[in-house]
Amino acid sequence: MVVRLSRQKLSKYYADSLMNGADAKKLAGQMAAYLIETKRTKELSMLVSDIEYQMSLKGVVIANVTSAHTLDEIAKTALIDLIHRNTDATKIRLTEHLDPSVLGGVKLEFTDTELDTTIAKRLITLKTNYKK
Amino acid sequence: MPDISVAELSKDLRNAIAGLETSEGLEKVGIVVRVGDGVAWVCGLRDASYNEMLQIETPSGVVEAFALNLMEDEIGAVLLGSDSLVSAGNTVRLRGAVLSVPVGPELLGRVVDPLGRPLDGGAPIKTKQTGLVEREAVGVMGRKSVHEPLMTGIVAIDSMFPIGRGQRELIIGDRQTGKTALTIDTMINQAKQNTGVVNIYVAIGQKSSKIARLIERLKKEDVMKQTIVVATSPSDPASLLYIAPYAATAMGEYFRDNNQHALIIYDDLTKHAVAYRQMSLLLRRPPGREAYPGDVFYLHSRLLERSAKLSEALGGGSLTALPIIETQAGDISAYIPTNVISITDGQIFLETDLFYQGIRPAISAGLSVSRVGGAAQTKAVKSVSGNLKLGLSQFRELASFAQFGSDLDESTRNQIERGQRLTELLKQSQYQPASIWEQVASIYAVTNGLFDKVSSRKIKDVQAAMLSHLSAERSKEMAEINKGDKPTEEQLKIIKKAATHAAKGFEEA
Repeated sequence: MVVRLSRQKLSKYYADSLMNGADAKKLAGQMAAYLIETKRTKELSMLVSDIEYQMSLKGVVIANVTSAHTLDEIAKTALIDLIHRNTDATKIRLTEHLDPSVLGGVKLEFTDTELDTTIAKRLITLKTNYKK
Repeated sequence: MPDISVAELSKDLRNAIAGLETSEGLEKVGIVVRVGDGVAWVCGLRDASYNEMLQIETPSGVVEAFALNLMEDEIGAVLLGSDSLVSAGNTVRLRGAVLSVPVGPELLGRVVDPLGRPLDGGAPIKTKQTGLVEREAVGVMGRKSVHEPLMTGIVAIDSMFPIGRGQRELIIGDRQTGKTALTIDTMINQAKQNTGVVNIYVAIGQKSSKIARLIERLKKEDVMKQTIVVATSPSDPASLLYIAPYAATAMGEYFRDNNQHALIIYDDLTKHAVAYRQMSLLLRRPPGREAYPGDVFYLHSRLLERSAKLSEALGGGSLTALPIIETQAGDISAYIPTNVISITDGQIFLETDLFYQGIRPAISAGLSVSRVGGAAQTKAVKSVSGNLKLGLSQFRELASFAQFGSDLDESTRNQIERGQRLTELLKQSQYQPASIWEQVASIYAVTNGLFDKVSSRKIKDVQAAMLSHLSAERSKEMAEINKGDKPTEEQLKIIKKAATHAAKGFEEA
């Protein structure tokens, strides 16, 4: 019987192995097998976010930025600087997503942290305050 | 001494604060993994602390919740709004603050929910301060022993089980035995006697119709202006029922900490424990006795410990608590009743049998006790009610034996007859709390045998006659007794004369 391990332990093992130069494909295969065996494939997205968190503790930050329009280089540099100021990151990877539903502004997400300056978010806040 | 400019100092401080604030609009976020039965499970938010407020962003607006279960991979949060709005995948934000509610005199006269939102259709409540819902109780050095009386206006309580300001006195009994009625009378008495005590009534899962009736009565008796009603109904989420007494205590603590006196009534803690049990089971906490979680004692002990009499150094304010517990078939040895009995400083036990015999308030003299109130009893009442409790207990014991035979010696018969008169005297109509002088005169007349020739059936009539005579003819002397000091020989003579005079009209042939 396979022992059920917490996501925190799994993600820590995964991040440690990656940082120590383990074969990423082999590691992914092992993890996939474990998740299937323990019937926890639904936890995949949460596991990925936990691995990102563990990586951030080791100085590697994977950030996602969502905006309605393509960002210019100045904006991207400003966002990277912001992450530098708020984390101990030595390496930052910024992935850009385009989503017209945010209407305007940017949404930056990295390891449990978010900067949401989108118009969509402001509209939700307005909606809640209006209800109150 | 160097030349210090206040403006420069202020600027330096502001710059230093700005330099330390590194968040730059960044927020800690998590994701709702699953939701149901008023509980949301959240992944992420590794920095969340116990009882911290969360905001769940839904397409219909923000729903608030607070973190109760902090586990390795996820946290269990109890929703303060409807769970139908929340769905898996919603973003959750840490608010960076524990739950707090508005506090202050602006709440007086208002009916609010546990979050301080008005329920009475009145204007929005704008207070200058907020109070933490969960707060540590005052330490040992910040307290003073209970020594000031809190008059309930109920003769049986003020004479036999006196309550002091800062005391926690449990009101316990089966359903429909007059528990809430007792507390309403106490609230009314605070207004009638101008004690200045602020009333806070917390309805935990009480029927809305009952709360509406209570508010109507408080308005009618002109008590509402010094009262705050914190109301929750059975249709509210368990989380609101759970925080209701804590939120109300925070409101009461404002008055306590500002050198005032407040009285808080928790109606009732049985329903509170049930709401907590529901939340705990949904949060997958291991069930214990009667399926309550292991910390159900701490649930009530940390709540009631916040009611206290403060030391002079802290202003000498007080918060008196009257928690209510509903028993099943008079069983006070059940789990929650024994817990709360051990936490409080005494209990008033209401018996169903007495209630249906017409003895109302149906206070059991044998099972009720006030552990600290003796020191706080008004000297006037104390001076006349010395052996009242013992006499009444002995009478009830003798009366049960006397049912088996009619051959009783004269002293036993006298004791029984005196007991019957005493029992009649302690009967009191609802919404009619008695002032100090009324209590003193009534008890003095019966315990000194001044009504011995009056049939027990006519005791209330003769009492009314005596009191109306004293009120009309001797109002000045009675006002003196009302101050609470031990009555003088002269004052007792006046009462004796009035009682003898009144008794003459009701003597049996």
